[in-house]
Amino acid sequence: MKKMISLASAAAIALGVCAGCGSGAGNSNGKTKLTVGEWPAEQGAELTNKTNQKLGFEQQNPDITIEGDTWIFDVQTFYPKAVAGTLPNLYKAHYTEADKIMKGGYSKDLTEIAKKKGYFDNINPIILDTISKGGKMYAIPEVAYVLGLACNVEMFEKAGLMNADGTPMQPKTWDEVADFAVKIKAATGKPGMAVPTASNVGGWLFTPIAWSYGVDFMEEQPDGKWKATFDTPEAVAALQYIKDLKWKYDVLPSNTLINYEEYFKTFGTEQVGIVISAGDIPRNIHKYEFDNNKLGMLAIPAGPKRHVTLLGGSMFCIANNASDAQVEAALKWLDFTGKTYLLTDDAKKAKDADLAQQIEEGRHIGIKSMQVWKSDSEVVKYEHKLIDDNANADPNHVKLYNEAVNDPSIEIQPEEPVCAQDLYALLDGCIQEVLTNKDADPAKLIAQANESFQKNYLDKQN
Amino acid sequence: MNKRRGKITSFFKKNAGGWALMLPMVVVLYFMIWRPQVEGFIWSLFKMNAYTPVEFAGLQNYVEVVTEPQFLTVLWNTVQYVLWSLVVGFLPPLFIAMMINEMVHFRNGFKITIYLPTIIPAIVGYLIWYFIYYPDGAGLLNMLLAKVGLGPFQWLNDGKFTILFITISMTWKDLGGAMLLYYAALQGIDPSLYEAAILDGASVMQRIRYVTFPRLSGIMLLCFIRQIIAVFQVMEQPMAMTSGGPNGASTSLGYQLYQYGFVTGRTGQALALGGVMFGILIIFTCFYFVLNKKVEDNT
Repeated sequence: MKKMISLASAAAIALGVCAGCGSGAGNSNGKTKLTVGEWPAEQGAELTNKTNQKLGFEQQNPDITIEGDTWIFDVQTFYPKAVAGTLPNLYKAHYTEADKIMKGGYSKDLTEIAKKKGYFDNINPIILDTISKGGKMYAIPEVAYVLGLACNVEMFEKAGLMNADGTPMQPKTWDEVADFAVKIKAATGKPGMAVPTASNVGGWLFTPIAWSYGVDFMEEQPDGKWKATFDTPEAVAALQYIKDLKWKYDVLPSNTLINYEEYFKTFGTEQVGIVISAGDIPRNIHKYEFDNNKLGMLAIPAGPKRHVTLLGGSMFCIANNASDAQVEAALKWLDFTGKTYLLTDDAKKAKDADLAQQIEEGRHIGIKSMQVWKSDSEVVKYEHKLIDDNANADPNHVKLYNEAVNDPSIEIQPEEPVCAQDLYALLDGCIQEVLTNKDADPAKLIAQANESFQKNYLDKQN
Repeated sequence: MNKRRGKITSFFKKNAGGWALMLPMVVVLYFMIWRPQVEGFIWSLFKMNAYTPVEFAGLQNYVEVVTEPQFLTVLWNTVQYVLWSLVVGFLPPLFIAMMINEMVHFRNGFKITIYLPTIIPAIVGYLIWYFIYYPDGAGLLNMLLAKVGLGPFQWLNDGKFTILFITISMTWKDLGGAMLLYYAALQGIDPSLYEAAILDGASVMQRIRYVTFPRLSGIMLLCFIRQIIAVFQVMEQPMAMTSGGPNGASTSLGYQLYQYGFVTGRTGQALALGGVMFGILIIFTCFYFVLNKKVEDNT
């Protein structure tokens, strides 16, 4: 009996290994079916908007059927779905994952078709680097943003940190940020600023601070191997700055375990005056009913060595099991919904509808993020005009950030190229240690992190 | 050969009903338990590209996992979760069950009240405690302590005590289940034994010592082992309350596995760490089954 069961189990396991292969051809009733990810799951302005777009698109393209898929990119579910071949044909992902997606082959090579349709020549070159590998392009960029400082204008007013023209004062250096935070705390009794510390977000936002202090986290050797290079006085000084925010200036919240959600909740509920953030902050804080008129955005300050900011954003990828017809359909959909450089009447309508939806949701309108298409393209001019015409808060509050986005004196740097999440996790630990332990030695922590990063991550990568 | 095949066919035919009854469970076990475990173990011996095995790597993933500098810290953290859970969480359900068992009025009300946290969705429970422990004046505990001029304390932010405070929240959340087990066992004790003990002049403590404990020792031992097995896999609590911090002070093996598997994309190491945990837990599980058999034989 036992032998029988063992045999049956073994056979079942063997059969199962072969199971789960293949995916739908995406062709039904002679129509091309295109599944589109991040489809709104709940009733509301966003779903109405998307449904209208789908109906309009299908009317114009009777040979294509759009099917919404409510899956939203997250690292936990992405890889199982990618391997199982169950990703939506068209899905969104963050630039942070671009390297892994391209390396894993989970996104279609779009180089040829992108050249044919003119995308290739119209993409902002900085963004093109992020979505390309070996000269081939694997995604269509959706949005891009650079980090700056978000501030609570009301707190700035109380602390006397507003200019006569209604713009918030721009701290020029990180030390000035600390001074501003001290003034905010003195005027409002609330922490002047917050820094994230957990779930790799602390490390992520620490990197541009460290770059501005002159830190290079890693270096590719001539033999192609990577070397950790941040056991330096510059990195120690950057970590000492974070430590000083807590123990010298005392401007941080008591909670020292702050992940992404907690970080924006702290700002969105008006518990702090300043946070480091990108221009997409309205989507993170509108749920807390943050008064749009209190939102200010400033350029990232300079460090002792560089004036540099971090590039972020999201892109559209086409799953590698999509057919040629689905690729074609996906790009048509992106054109139709105004996600490419082509400014057709449909694209204008889609952009108008997207903006109307954001206004209905109560989001701040006025921040001009970095553009994924070249700045002289019609689509960029149209988007900027839309924002100017529909701004729902004092434009002066975000003016300095909008100007900084196109300021050539501020360097724009993409994320660290290798083992970035592992690096962030190590830096999270360093930040948590200096914020919870007054006697923590930044030099020792940085040396340990550098050694661990080399031994446990880069050496294995090499 | 034909004779053998005939035997097999007749074996299946004779037990067709039984096989049909078993089939749904076998299918579920196959998809949910056997296949993932077997494949997980096999893949832990491979270099992985996300969820695709690339090349055979032998024990490389295991070596990488156990030689990482944080492995011993994380293992020790996990052991601390287990130890604190035994200190904080092992006896309270028993005492509560004994108290409820002695109650004359509102017995069901107390039972339901104490069981309530168990039915709260886990993540909600841990977020409630996150706010109870919040380190500034907005935290419930700090608010209460401020009334008597104490604090504010750092609670979860204080790495020396993070695991203890997480364990207290786990105990609050889970003690209802164990309490009901003990309560059912207490209800099964023959009341005449207590009456005889009273007639012999036994005090309350003596009745507990000589009547209650001997009849509960089996179930207590089982709960003890089950608690070790359950707490050893702790993952959601540090994830929801501290993200494993401060500086790794509350990272458990389970949370580290989650980090490998779903955050840093090191699937091979995640599977290997799963294998290590499986190896440790299988010892306790075997122990549990041996004890369980003994307890069942004695009842």
